[in-house]
Amino acid sequence: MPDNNSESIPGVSEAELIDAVGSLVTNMPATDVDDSDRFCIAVRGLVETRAQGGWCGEGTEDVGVFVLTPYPRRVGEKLGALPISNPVATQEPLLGRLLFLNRDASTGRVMALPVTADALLEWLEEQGLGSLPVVMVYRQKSIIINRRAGVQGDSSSDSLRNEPVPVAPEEVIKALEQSHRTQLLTPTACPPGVWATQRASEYIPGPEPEKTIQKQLQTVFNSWFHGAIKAEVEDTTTIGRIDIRLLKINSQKHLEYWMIVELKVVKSSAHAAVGKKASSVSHSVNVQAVCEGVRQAFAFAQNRHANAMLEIFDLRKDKTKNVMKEKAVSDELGKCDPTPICHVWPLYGSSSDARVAGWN
Amino acid sequence: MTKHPSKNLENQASLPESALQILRQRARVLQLVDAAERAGITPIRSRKLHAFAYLADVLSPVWNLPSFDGKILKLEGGPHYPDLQREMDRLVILGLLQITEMKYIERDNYGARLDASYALNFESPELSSILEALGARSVENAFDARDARVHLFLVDLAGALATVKDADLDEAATVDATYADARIDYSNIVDFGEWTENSHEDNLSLRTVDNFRRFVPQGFDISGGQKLYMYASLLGRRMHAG
Repeated sequence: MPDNNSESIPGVSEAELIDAVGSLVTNMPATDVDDSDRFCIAVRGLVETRAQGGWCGEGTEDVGVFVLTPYPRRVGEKLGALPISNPVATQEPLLGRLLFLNRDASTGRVMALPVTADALLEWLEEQGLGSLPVVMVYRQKSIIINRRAGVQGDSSSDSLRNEPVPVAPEEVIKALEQSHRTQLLTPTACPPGVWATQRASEYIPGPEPEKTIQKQLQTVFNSWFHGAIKAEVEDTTTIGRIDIRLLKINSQKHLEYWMIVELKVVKSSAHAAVGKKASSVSHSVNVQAVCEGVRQAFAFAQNRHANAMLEIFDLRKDKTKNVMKEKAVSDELGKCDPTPICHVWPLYGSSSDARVAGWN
Repeated sequence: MTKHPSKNLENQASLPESALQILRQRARVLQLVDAAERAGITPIRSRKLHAFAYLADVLSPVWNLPSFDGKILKLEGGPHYPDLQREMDRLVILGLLQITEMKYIERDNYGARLDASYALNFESPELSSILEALGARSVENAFDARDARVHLFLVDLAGALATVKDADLDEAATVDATYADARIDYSNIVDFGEWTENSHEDNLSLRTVDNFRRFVPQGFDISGGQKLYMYASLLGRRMHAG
């Protein structure tokens, strides 16, 4: 699919260019997210590659610890750690070890775990490294624990998968399910910006909840599908702005759009700062927002020759009315062929509301 | 410290151009080594640091930055900048860089070349404030705000090159599209942005990067960082094939 402006560059072949562009999906770090997310994604890619290769080179050790280090040599020399490079391409053991790596987890320093895994966080703090993002990998439990803000910060977990992830809509839904449950369901898990500061219990959304969720999902998808799918945000077309697009390599080794993911938020009220009265948002306005989402998802997917998904995040206090059952929405869906895959994800203003609704 | 005058740099006016050039070269070395430190590829052999300096020059236009030096003498052993080497060694004397594993490498018909490993000397009490002034910490504290962008570029490039197998930067430079241009023999100047009237035409590396867009779907803009990683991937493939 090269465009018509083909240009011959002395000594450079088309195959080299195609391969280089394909690296965007196959092995490029997430260059457009912040460094801690970038590091967590890179470590997951590294250890899952190892796991899927049968943990070659590993012994009986269970835990590996990875620390994002601004100056790996400086820390490594102080602690007697040795150089390590491109662990994804080697059989250098990772488990039973403490690695001080760059943000791509590609190079740095490595040493044996100086204390047991249970005592490691405390040890890092004693060394003055407590503020650095840490990822702990547990082989037996097949789990990865991320502490993006350092040892005292909140933790989040990812599964450590021993099989490559298939590129299928069902996997996108699995990624969304996990993100919903662990990162969006309640205000304590939600990234700042989904809810208005200190007003989640009033069900007042933040100024741009869709933007916040969009950035969150970009990281989620890039982590979930590392090496197979690349998630990008903010694609402005002549017919509007696509929220998230997922790209893959096709059988001709070319990069192509695979899925367009549109995001919509339905809510009880508009954003308002603390002390300000929030204006209410009617059910019909929410229905219209969903209808617009259906139209956008379908049109963007057609425009980009991709599949379409519409993900609706329900920030309403009263969630009894199902927006997807509304006739206007059904009518809109009826105009689309193929019909976008749609989901509604409930978000609660308090943990107790989530429990009452049956989430535990 | 960029090559261009800035309203923040009035003091430069009192220095002769030759002295300014030395300061620029020292600043460039410190920025390069800082980026290499962040990528985790230090101590860095001098020949690799020269290769990194060259790749930074030839790829700066990818980020719309001026090349520090728009030309290079094409040598069989890979890029080498005598002026930069001189300042690397002076920075060792000044206590800002540390040097290890020194040795001379014999070169056919060209005498010998000093080779050693360089790294930042974190024990230096001045290092942190100098790096801060050079934009290696934040934009706010940079002497010239443009240096912070140069530093971001160098960090991204060093990270991209660190993904090349064994971080073989010296070999990576020799397979670079501009350096490897078969139309230019060894011992000739490769001019990709110094005197040439068409730097885009003569910078084959930039043209290669620009051509990546031919292979992305409609509406996809490749970011500056992605371009560097794609190009590093291309260099890695060439080294592997070679």
